[in-house]
Amino acid sequence: MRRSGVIRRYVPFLFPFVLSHTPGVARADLRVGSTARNGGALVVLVDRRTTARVSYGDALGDLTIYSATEPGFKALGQDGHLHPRFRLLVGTEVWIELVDAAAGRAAMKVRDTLLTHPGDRALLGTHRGPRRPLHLDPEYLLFLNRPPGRFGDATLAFRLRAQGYRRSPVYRIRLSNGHLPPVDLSPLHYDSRAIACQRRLGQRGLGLVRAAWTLLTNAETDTSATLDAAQAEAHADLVNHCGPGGSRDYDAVHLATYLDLASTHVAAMVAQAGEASSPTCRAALLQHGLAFVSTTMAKTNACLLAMQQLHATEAAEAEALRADPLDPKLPRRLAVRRAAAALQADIRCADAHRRGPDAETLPGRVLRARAQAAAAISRACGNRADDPDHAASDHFLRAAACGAGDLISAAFATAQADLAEQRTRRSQGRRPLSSYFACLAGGAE
Amino acid sequence: MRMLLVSAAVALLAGPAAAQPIDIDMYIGSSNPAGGALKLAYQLCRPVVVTPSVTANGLTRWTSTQPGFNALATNRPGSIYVLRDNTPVEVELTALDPGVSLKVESALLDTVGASALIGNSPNMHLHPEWRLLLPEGARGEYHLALRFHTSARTYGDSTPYTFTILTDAPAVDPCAGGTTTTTLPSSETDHLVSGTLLLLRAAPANPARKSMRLTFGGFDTGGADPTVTGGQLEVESNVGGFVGSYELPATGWRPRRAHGGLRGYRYTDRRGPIHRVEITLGRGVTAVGSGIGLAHVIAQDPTPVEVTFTLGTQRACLHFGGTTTFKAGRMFRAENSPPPDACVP
Repeated sequence: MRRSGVIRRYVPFLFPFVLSHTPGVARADLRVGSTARNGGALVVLVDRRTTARVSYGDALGDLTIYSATEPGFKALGQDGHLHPRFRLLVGTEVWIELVDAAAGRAAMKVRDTLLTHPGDRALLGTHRGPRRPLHLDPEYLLFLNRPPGRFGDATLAFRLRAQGYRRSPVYRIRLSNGHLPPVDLSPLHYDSRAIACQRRLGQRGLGLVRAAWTLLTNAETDTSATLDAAQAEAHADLVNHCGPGGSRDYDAVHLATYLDLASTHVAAMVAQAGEASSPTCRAALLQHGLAFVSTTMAKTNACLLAMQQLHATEAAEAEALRADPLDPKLPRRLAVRRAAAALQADIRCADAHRRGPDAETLPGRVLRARAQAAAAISRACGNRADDPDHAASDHFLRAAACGAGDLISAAFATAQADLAEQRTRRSQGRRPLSSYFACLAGGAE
Repeated sequence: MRMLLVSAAVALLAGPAAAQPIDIDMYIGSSNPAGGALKLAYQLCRPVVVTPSVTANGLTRWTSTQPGFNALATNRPGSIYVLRDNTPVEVELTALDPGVSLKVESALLDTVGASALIGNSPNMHLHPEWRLLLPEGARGEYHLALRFHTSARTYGDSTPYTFTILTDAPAVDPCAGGTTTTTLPSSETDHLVSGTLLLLRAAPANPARKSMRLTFGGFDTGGADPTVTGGQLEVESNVGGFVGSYELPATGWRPRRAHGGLRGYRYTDRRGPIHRVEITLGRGVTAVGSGIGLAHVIAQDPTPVEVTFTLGTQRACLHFGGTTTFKAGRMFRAENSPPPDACVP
């Protein structure tokens, strides 16, 4: 089929999608409500994958401080329809209490109160109704005794209290510095260099995962120097493409922490494989685990890059319409361009409108890679509950999927939202693509 | 560089910490309805008060996440206007004292000329980190100036705005008394006035049968001409859960003249929710409206009801509480209400 024919065919399908989408990273807040009308327990609508993406702030001697102000807290605007979640009463004063601060590695600053120890409390705010709801963006702080550019994460646990309500359950937020910041998709900033940077980032990230995996798998002696060298080489290349000399999307510290995150995840996965008692099982875990992670990352990176180009096309369209709103031919020209970008995103991601085999779609490939790895691992490690390596092998694949998901969302800040928006084919249940990926770090719901 | 900005308000700032936190955000709009320059609505007399977050190796890191940046949601005729949708706005540092910086998400702005994207209208909402890195034990007053920029050709850059950063909270509200309003590029003159009458009616079975009558005195138009600037009336209640924001465009206003002089202004609009507004100079204002376009809900007692009436840069703020009459779902009446303590931000 000729390209123009493809575009004509897909435009009607794609319009509802592209018009409803707002490019960029949603800065969502954690919504605060209660389990019953005018009472009950306080609740926070927080996803277990919610991550505060802290970034480099200061280095005070050997102490490096990373910080973020998202996600914030905001009172629910209306009662929930699907879940029993209710608005707070007007005048409710909500307090936050720290339950765990990762042994001093994490902290939260609420206005002028620094919460560093379990039991520390601060007034989050007072809910004053729909026009002036409870709303506060705290400062999340991660402290690392490592030089800037090294990966670190920690989990903060907290709960809320308010008079007239039972205290909330304990919620946890992960603070991580390994995530690259969202790319500015406005036409002023997003150009061919930014696209090249994103592509390079995917290649280099995956390349480092493979190199580190091979290196750590075959290591007889200390490999840290070799691994550092591989990381440094990837870093230099990425700084060229994405740093001040390239697209200027990321600075050197961002890129270094991302690559360190990749190495850290690989080291954790390889160490986990090492827990298997049988050498055959260990070898199978390492070989097939790498194949699964590689396939997942490669295919998903391609999808997310196409999604990002679609968002950039939409942003450029909005700018063009604003600049020349009276050109009668402009809307059609832009619609064709946008449809082409949307088509690319569809092909790379869900491929929902074509008739090829289900196994060739992104979720199909991810599932197939996982099933193949699981089958091979099962053959090598045993699949009965009383096999000595059964538990280790079962746990390993979940951890590998989780590591891959974390690396994907580290490179693409909008990964969770983008994958949630794309749906599989009808034959695959029209599920959001995000449901195929474990541990995608996301913002608030 | 230690910038020189000493205003009358800043002189009030020394002293112990104030007890009550004040969360007031900044709102970004434009100087004209269809373009002009980007503009900030914020009382610059209000300092950014930073507090210590970490002290290590002889240095103290002071921070605050207040105030945040927002897109302006409703026009303030004659003063500042809502940006077109999807307008990207960047913030750029134009001057700063040593040790001062601003962190906008992951972008650390610590040199003149550094910039970062805040967001796109109308959903722009971001709390930056206002930061100060000082030797341990040092305190004081510092400054930072920034301007707003957009890639959208519709708008020009804003003028620079200078913020005061303090390590010690002022003992009294530095913006109290309106002493600083005239020095601010975007602020309005607020009038805290008493309300004569607010009458809200509704019919539970027929939402179209709503009506409103508002009367108050003691409002000086300050020379504002609504036939040029238009106006706006806002009636809201947190308790009642409604916010009614009614535009009174300039085209609906006519001057009222008597004996060759200006007696006031009259607004008429048969189709809009507010049908008639009468301003009698030196006496008062009466507004009447009816129909489904009125936003009020009186299923429960909405006391107190906040009312804001804006003409150009002049804003009258009323607070109807105290003596009221309420019939659930049908009528709310408040009379002779005293002036409020402050305008709704």
